[in-house]
Amino acid sequence: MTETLLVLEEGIELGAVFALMAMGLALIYRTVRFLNFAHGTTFIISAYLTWYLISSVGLSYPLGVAVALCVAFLFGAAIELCILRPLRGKPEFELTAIIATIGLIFIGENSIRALAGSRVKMIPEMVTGNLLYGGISLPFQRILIIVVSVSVLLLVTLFLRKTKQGIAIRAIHQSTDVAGLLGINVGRMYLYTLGIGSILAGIAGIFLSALHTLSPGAGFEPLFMAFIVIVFGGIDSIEGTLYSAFLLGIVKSFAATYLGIGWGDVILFAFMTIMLIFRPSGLAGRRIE
Amino acid sequence: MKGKSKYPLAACILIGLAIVLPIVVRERYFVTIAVQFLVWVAVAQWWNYLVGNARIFSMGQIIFFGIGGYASAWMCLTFGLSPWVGMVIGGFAGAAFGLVVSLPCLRLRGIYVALFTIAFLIMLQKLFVQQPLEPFTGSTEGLLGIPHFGIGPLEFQAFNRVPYYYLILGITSASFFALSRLINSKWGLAITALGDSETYAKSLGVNPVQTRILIFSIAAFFTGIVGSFYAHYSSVIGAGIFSIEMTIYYFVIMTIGGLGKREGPFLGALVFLVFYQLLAEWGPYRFIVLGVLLVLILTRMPSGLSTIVESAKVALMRIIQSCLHKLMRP
Repeated sequence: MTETLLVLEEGIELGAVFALMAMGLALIYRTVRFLNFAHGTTFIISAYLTWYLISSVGLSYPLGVAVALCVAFLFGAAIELCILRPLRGKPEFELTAIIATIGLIFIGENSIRALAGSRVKMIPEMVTGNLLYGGISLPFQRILIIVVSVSVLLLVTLFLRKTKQGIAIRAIHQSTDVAGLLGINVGRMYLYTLGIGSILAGIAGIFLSALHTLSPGAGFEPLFMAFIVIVFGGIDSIEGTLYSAFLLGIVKSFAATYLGIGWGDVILFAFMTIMLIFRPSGLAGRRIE
Repeated sequence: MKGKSKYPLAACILIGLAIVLPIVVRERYFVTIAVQFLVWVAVAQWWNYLVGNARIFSMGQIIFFGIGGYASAWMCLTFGLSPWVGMVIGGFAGAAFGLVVSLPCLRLRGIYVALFTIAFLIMLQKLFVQQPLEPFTGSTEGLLGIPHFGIGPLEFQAFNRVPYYYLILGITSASFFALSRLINSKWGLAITALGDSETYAKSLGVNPVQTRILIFSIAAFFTGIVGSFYAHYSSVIGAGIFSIEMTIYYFVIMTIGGLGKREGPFLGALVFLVFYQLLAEWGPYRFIVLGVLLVLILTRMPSGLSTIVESAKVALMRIIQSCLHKLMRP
């Protein structure tokens, strides 16, 4: 029983990180109409930056995280300004934009390798100590991660529903042209969306690397998870993405514990394939095309 | 289309040069590099056709490369088959996987193909090291001691592996000509038509899904053959063959050369080779330069280096023409 609870907790925690990652990806895809392969690069850059600022520069934890997230925002905005703007409007935008972000993965990973070396790094624990309750010992850090992730997700959902900018972003999703006609500055909204999406990836990066270790190629695994999550949940739906992130997180955690580490990913892939065959629009998505 | 040469002159000249090359350069290092280069070209030309011309955004050609290798290696190790038979099996195993992969995703929009193939690639990487599959994949160790190619008593490993160079040269050229034939065939024309306007092509009776699945499987077949070659050549294969790193390399090769251009993979592989092998002491910096180059090419020069070759060709023709004019003048 205790073990099951612990596995469940790990699943929720994994789901929270997936949700952060996938929500950023889905938000960018819905609005900017482009699949950001550099999302994993944002993830890993923020994590490395946090590690650097805290371990080498000696900033305090909140300050280091804040700076890293600002950089994540700027990185997202830079993707829009340097890559998407010149490509937009040209034929095959969806394809060329993806290949360009594949180039960014290449640049990001090797820059980290050049600057920080290939050796594995560790981010220090955010909070120390364990919660002891009824024979269960749970590190405070894990509770913190779940709480913060869920609040961030709620905040973003609120932002999309209540604020002027959020409504503008959703309007662009419905129709870019009409949104433009209504006086929404579409280009600026693209910038915001990429920035916010990248911040979400950055938070996911910091959290996951606080739990595990950091290496230059570590950004790909979460990106792959986020892909599976958005396909499973419906690439166009924020709610679907959230549900599927937590569902798949728990599934992965159980599969990895009871079947063996590598099986978690294999089973998630099977979930995605079944969904693609029988319901290509995903858990909560509408019909495609 | 009919009047166009199926076997471009330039390709024939290059292949002729490549046949003579090992006689001039007699170093083992050269053979290693040249084999690597030809493997890249062989895989990239089909991949490039899929992404650039057929608009099938596959990110998983490495799947068929690996499957071809594993299938051939396993058959040869278990049943003692000749690697030549193994290579054919590798090709068909690749094609079969191509069919399996294409069924769930080719009905859907381009983006799903990319997502599905890359997820499949990573899944295989994890799956192939699992215990239950050990008899087929050798688990984390992979399959070791895969037999070398040979003709009669002659093993290809001998003579500084030069026979391997000729074998992959043959495979690459054969698949180049096969691709040329395909492009000029009914199916190739259907693909071109689909690229120009899907609605119009449909109205002329082209079945987009069927055509794409066919092209995808043929590409997987040739990639499987190359994969099988590679497995026998290096005589080991492990789950690391399903690598994201390689996928990125291929995208760099295709984009720098020029997406959808016939000469693209050749040019791209050449540039990549220079960076990868000759500038190895630059360490990770050489990849940063390549990445920046890729982004610049995509944003400023979408046809990649083939643009330069194209304009060089035009300039050359003009010079020849003016020379001829001067000679002809009475």
